[in-house]
Amino acid sequence: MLDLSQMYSEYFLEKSLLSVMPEAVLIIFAFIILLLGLFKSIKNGENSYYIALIGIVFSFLYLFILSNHTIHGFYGSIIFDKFDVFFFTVILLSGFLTVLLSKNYFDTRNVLIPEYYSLVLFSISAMMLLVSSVNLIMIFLSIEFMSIAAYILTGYLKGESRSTEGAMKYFILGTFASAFFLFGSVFIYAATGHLNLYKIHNFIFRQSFKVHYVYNSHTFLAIGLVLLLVGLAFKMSLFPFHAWTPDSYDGAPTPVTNLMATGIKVAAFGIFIRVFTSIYSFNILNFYNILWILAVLTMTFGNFAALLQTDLKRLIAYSSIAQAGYILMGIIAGGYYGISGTLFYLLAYIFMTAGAFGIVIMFENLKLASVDIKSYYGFGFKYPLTAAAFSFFLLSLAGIPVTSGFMGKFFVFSAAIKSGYYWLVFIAILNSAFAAYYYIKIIVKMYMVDNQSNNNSIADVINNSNVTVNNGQMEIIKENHVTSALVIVIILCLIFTLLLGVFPQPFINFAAKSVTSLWNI
Amino acid sequence: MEALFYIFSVIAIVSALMVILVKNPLTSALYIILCFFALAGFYILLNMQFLAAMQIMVYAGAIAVIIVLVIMLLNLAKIKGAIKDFHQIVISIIAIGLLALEVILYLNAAGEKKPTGIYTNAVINKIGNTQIIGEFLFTKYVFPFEVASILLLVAVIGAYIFAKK
Amino acid sequence: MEQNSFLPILIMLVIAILFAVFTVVFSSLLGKKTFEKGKLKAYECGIEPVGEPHVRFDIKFYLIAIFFLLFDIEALFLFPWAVVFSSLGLYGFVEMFLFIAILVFGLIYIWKKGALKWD
Repeated sequence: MLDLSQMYSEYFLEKSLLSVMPEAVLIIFAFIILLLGLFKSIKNGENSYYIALIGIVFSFLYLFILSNHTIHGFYGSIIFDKFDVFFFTVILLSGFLTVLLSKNYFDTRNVLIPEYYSLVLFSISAMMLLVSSVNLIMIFLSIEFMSIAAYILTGYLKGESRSTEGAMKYFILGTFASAFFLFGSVFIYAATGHLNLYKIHNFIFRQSFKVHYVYNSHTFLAIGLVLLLVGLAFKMSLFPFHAWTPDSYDGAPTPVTNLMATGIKVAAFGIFIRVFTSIYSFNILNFYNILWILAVLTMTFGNFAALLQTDLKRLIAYSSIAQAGYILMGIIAGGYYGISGTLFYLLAYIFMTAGAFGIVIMFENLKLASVDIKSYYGFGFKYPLTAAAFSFFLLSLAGIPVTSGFMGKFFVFSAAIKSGYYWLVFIAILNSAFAAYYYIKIIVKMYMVDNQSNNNSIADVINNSNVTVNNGQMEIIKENHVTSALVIVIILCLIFTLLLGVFPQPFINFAAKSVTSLWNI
Repeated sequence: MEALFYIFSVIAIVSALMVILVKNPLTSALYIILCFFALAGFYILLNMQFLAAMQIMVYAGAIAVIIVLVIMLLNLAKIKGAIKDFHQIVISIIAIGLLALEVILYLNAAGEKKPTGIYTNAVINKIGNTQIIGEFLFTKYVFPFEVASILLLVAVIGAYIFAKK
Repeated sequence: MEQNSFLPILIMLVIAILFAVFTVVFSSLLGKKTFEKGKLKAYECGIEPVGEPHVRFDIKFYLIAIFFLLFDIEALFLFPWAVVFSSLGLYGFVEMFLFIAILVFGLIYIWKKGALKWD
């Protein structure tokens, strides 16, 4: 029944393969890492790290070569356009930073190293596939692919019960979310008869002119859209679907937490923007109002819950929930300005989050008993550079001027005002002010010496080390707490956080250019 | 055909109820296999022979084996009686209510004319369900098909990582 | 491929069920019954049983079951492929080759890692 002649044309195959080349490169490198890991003679921990980095760089190269093309591949399941170029860049950067963060973290732990890096590459490629898919089946498959790799990575520290617990919660709730997504797709297919986003878009567009619109397929469509939103909101960790986030962010190995908070979230927002602009923009069932409420709940909940945290990793997990609320604002504002503001925010977000997680890893390397906020007292005096960098990331997360966080918020808020969402912006600004309180609280603590000396405080550890310099533990601290890879990550994040805050123009242009392709189909 | 539908329905509902009513986990595992078979019967009635084969091979075959093994692995045979929790009852009532709503909506819409593709029941009967799936899977959906194999590979690696000593 | 072609399968199923019911019911009707407490105990060479008869299974069983499931799904994809193979030609062959090659890689991986070794 199908026309097979198109299949055999070499042009078709070539074009289709080109459209997934950046992902394919990553997958090939992941296979190489696995294959080399099978040979015991090669010391595999080292080389798999470098191969993963090279793989990401090669993927970047392909992205650069293809960046001026728009390619439809595999019967329209995959599209490679300017929008993808932006998101691929962000996802690859997030992956690159994650791999750099992983080196030191996993060297000291007894885990399977080659499998780790190959899973990271697999999940990055899945994120890229997710953003570039325009067919509901392909979107579902990419979500599953990405999530399965993420479930495994979350539970990678097998000895630690928190890691296993996080993986378990993530897996069970994630599977439910996938089921919601699939069920929603079924309803949309029943209502429209299409799986391709653009065909669904055209179908609804044509229907919207008809006076005698079939009421029930409208109901089907509405149910489908609600279910689809649930599935995607889970991956974006919006408020009522966030329950997995703190536990799995907390339990996962910190580099993996970074990958989940940056890469997976960015990919989920990427596909949400695609789905949103093609289907939800018709405002069936007043979806803008639903998203409005979700955004407000997400940012308010995230900020209030973050205030109560004493564990740094959990705090950043909750703050990333709050950030998702701000990002959603840009999508609600919609249009050219709203979406490009969102994209800019996402770019800014990955750098400040990766930077903050870099510092968290540094804390963990200092072997502080859990990453307790109480233990920062005096940190600012003993490690002035690290503390300054950390303060900068926190200020950026809070949205203080001169940082990328401020510019991101500025673009998103102004787009929302332009679209007339005054109340939303008002609530968001109140939220930001509130959030600034707990970020700055940490900074203040770092530059304060606690008089009622705390056993865990860094100041104490340092003081003890002055007495016994040759203490074995201190040597470990000195060796491990700063490594070149970690320094590279933090410097890179610092540079970009500052650059995006001071010279946002080229980046917002990049974002704006990529957004145009969303409507040029 | 109508009679068969009702027979399969009764088997499916009764076996699904027995899954949660019997006390021994292994017995409920056996009932779930019966339920899978009844579902496969539905698929055949709906002209989805491939799905029926899948249901029997994957669910009644492999998944049932895993369920039984996990019961033995966790040593669940000792658990007696159900855990009664107010929360669970409330949540299950809400879930059943939503499901009932869905069924009502569906039945409401059943009479309406909906967009249909070229693959009507008559066409499927003529060509064969498996053949149509094959044609689509290896042409239009060839890329998802290849990605599925990588997904399975990742799952294999994951299973190994988690079960490793 | 009409539903009628499933009639033999249905008949066979019915016969199988009848046979099973027949054997169970008739053996319980015809056989002699004795009820004793000792019959329900696990047999341990005639000595009083010690400890729980339920032993925790090795995780190996579970691992094998998962691998079985994953490769079962792989095998399942072969059915629609086999049906349309002739019309797909070389293209279909390459597709399936790639699919199986990726999963065979998985098999080699677990094999080399020793996940299939029993001790």
